[in-house]
Amino acid sequence: MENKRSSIPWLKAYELYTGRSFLNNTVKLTLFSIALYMFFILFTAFISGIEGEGFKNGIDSTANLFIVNVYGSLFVLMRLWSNGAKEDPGGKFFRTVKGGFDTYAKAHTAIICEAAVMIILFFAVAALISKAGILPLMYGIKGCVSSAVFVFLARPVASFFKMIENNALRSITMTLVFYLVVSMGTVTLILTGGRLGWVHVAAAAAAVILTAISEKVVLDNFRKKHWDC
Amino acid sequence: MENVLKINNIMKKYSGFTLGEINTEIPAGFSTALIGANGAGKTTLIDVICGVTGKSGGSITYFDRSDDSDSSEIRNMIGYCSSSNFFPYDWNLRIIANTMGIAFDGFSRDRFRELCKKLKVGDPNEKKQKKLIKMSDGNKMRVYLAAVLARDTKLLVLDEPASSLDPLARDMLCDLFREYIAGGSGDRSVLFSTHNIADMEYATDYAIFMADGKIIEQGFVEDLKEKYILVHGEADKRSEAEKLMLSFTGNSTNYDGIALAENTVQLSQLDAAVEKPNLQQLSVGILRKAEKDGE
Repeated sequence: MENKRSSIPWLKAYELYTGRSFLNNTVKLTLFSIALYMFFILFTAFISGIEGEGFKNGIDSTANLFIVNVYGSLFVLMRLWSNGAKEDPGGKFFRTVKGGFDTYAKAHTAIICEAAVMIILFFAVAALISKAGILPLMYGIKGCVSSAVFVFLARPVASFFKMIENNALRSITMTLVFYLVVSMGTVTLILTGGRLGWVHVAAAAAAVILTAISEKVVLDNFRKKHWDC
Repeated sequence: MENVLKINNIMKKYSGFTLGEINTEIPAGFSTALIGANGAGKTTLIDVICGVTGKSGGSITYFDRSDDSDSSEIRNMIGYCSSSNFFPYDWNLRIIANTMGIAFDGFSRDRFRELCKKLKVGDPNEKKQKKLIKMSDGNKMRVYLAAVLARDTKLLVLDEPASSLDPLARDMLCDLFREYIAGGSGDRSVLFSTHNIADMEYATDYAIFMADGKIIEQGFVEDLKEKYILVHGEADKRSEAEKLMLSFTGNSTNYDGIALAENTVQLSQLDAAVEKPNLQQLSVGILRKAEKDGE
């Protein structure tokens, strides 16, 4: 089927598919992730304090750098789980809107931008909180930069597994692959002794290239197997 | 424009079910009912018409001008609504109003608000909004109908719009269909599916009967009522009568069913009572015959 151009701008396509404006939704999701993260860190630090390890030591640990990754990538992963099936609520409505598949593709691209903004905002706030000494993280700002890079890389890598047809297998595989790549943000810092280096630059470059490739491959596959059929 | 849709050799193959080949024309300016049992292919045909599902073969000409369901012009002219899950469950009236405004040209927020009030599902301008997930199935359908009727379209295609509605709402739906068609200058049409035509007869001008993925009968309701007769009789002459009838049910005392009107004289000679069927009786007779033929 030929590719029709949608007259709907990508920000409107995002609003059409999510029901909410890009700015409003992205900021809300980021703030929610930050709130969840702070609650969890304070809670675990409080427990550690009770157990005698001390409040600051409870926060300033490698484990918490892993935790920050989980909260910083939560909504990025949740967006990946959505498979846009015809049978899902709204599935048939979205297939009848003007612009058809091109509108869907624009919304898909907007969701990548949403992921990028959420990652940047979340880890920037986490770095500020760490720098201010409120919730100090191991490796500080470098830890946040490394995490952000690998979360951004994890999204396209995991998205290739969206092409698995079995729902349960797809969700499990995507989640495992996603967090495997995300955890590399912490592992690489441990291996480099807390220094940002070529591996992080390479990961950032790979994230950009793979995002472009996965967008093309995953959308083409979705159109062939789930939209036009 | 005589026909709003010309459907030529449409086929859709699934594992275990094949729709078609379907050949039909949907008349412009009328309300057409797709009638059939569950699994007859009504939803599949509607989905193919609206571009929700791809087709395995054939073509559809829309409004005498295009065969491309994917074009924005056609999408803007067709008001489609599925039988369930039409919108995401976490949406409310305000979100629906906003998204419909983006999704289609000619969506009127004021008309949507008016219809929501008429159908008693709330107000999209109110601050406090109820999510669809918290609404009953009937109210969800009312919201879907308000959304689709608030668009400036030429054809409404509705999948089982009456199935989750209460009798009063079904009556209102019939009025809305009539109002919609009257609102155009003969160029607005409605196509809807149903497996229970009783409450929708008032809203039906043309009927298409489907069974096992095929069209088994179609025509204007008034013509079909002339073509077929409803027959009742005493059980003593049932065996002779049965030979002249298309569908037949009986017990030890009497029988009834549908026959072609051309057999009226012969059936009367068998002391059978013959009368004009209503659409519900016609549907039962035609679908029962299809079921029997398929066995």
